[in-house]
Amino acid sequence: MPYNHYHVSEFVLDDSFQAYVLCTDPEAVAFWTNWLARHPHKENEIQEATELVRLLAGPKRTQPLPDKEAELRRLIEQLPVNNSSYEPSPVRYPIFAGWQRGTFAVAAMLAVLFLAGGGWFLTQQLSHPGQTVLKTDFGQKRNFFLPDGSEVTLNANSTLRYQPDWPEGEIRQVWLEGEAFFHVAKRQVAGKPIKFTVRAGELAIEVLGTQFNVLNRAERTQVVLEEGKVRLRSTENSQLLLDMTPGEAVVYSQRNGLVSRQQTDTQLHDAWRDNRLVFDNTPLAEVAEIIEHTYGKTVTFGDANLMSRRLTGTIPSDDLTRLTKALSRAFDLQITERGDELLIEAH
Amino acid sequence: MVKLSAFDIEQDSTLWTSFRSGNQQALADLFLAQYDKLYRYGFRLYSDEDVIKDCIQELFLKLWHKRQSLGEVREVTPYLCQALRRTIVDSLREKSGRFRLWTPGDEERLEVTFSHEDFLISQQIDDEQRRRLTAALNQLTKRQREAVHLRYFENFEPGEIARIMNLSDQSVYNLLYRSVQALRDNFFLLLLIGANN
Repeated sequence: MPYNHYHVSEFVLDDSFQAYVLCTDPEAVAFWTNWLARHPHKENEIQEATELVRLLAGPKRTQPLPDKEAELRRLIEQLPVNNSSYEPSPVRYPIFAGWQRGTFAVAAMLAVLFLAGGGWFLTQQLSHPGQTVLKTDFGQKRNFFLPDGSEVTLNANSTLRYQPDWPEGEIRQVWLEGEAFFHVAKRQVAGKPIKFTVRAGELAIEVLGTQFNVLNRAERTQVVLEEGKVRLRSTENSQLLLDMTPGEAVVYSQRNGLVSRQQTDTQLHDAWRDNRLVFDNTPLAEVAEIIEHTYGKTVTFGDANLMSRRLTGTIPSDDLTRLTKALSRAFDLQITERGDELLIEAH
Repeated sequence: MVKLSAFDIEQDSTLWTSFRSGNQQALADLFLAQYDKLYRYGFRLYSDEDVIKDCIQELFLKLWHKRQSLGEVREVTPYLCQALRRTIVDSLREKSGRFRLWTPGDEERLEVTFSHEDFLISQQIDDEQRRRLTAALNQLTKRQREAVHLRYFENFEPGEIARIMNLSDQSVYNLLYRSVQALRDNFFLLLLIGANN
């Protein structure tokens, strides 16, 4: 629109006119001074527009702002351990034949070098110095081989740490946050079996060679034994808690120290490895928790009653879209994804 | 009016790419570069220093967590403002046990209000005018107030405001246009009459 058809509000909103009023652009000042001289009948409107621009765009009180350096330090303290500094290659390691002992040691050294680049995240480094960290993101699942040849499948949003060098004959030890399925290789030195220990929260899970699933999230550690034999200890005082037999599930609550033990269908607990979720009379609140941990979404319920609804069945969990589609169809729910959020409502 | 140069935008989006690839230095740089703008925006929507500080922390933690699934962003500030807004809404939500409950009124709790102190340092106007200007601004609709705030207090370009408020460029122009019209009705005409007498 040509300027001579402008009225007060249009002038106010015009960038060039604002620059003239606030004297931020000499070209605009020259242009409008000249323009005004040629359009004297617009003077009243221009005067009003000028006042408005001065009021609106003029100086304002400045807010006191927080100390952002302090806020940055606070942020860094909350960052997950060693995140991303070591991203294992997504390539599946060739089983045993091509696998070399040195692989992880080299990767760990690179990780340390990389970390040393920026001094300010030293705090994180100090908490687990020199450890090798295997990590999966939300919605991601990966297979790894440990230095002793044991195989680990790490579920989404999980971390496994260990000392990179595992001397022959010494105890093998890993730390787990999240969920993993272990297939531990049997090791012997001079006829003596070498223990393998998974430390998860306040539980130490000791094994000689076996297959089992460990879930350690939200102050709750669950161990499901597929085959072999497992001994559970408290990490605090090494006190023996119990010996597990195949087909058993043990849940240890960090909040109250309670241990529950029951027979279970082990497939329920490791179906995630085949991209399935199996529910057996499972409350929807628990399903929501799985979704939050696996995909990093915040689940919101449209109605509190929904949380106690129970589901039984198997649904695919390859990706979130398939999962929510299957969930909503099978259980007659309406699930809406909005950014980081998943809203679950009754249909 | 301070404008963001193409260079600034270019720098922001380079930083963003580096952030996404997991570079912690980029996280720190991005945090420091965007902090003041985000804080001012958040504080205007909900004037509680602790809540806004916590929400900014939560926002950056969340972004860092899912950095690999984040897309390319050309204008970082508007993107972050919009995300901060959602984070604030979330943090204000009623909690029922572990999970949040959704109530349709949540969005309504965030709104821009102006105070006469905002204009205290302006030499242009006296106390009475300040009072009337504040009253006139607060009579604008909720969305008009937000648009006016972003444009004239935070110096965002209309295109950026569109991104923050999830509107088209044309709707932003219309919002601002109607705001100026309403301001004239509520404040300026009165002022002119007063001045002429």
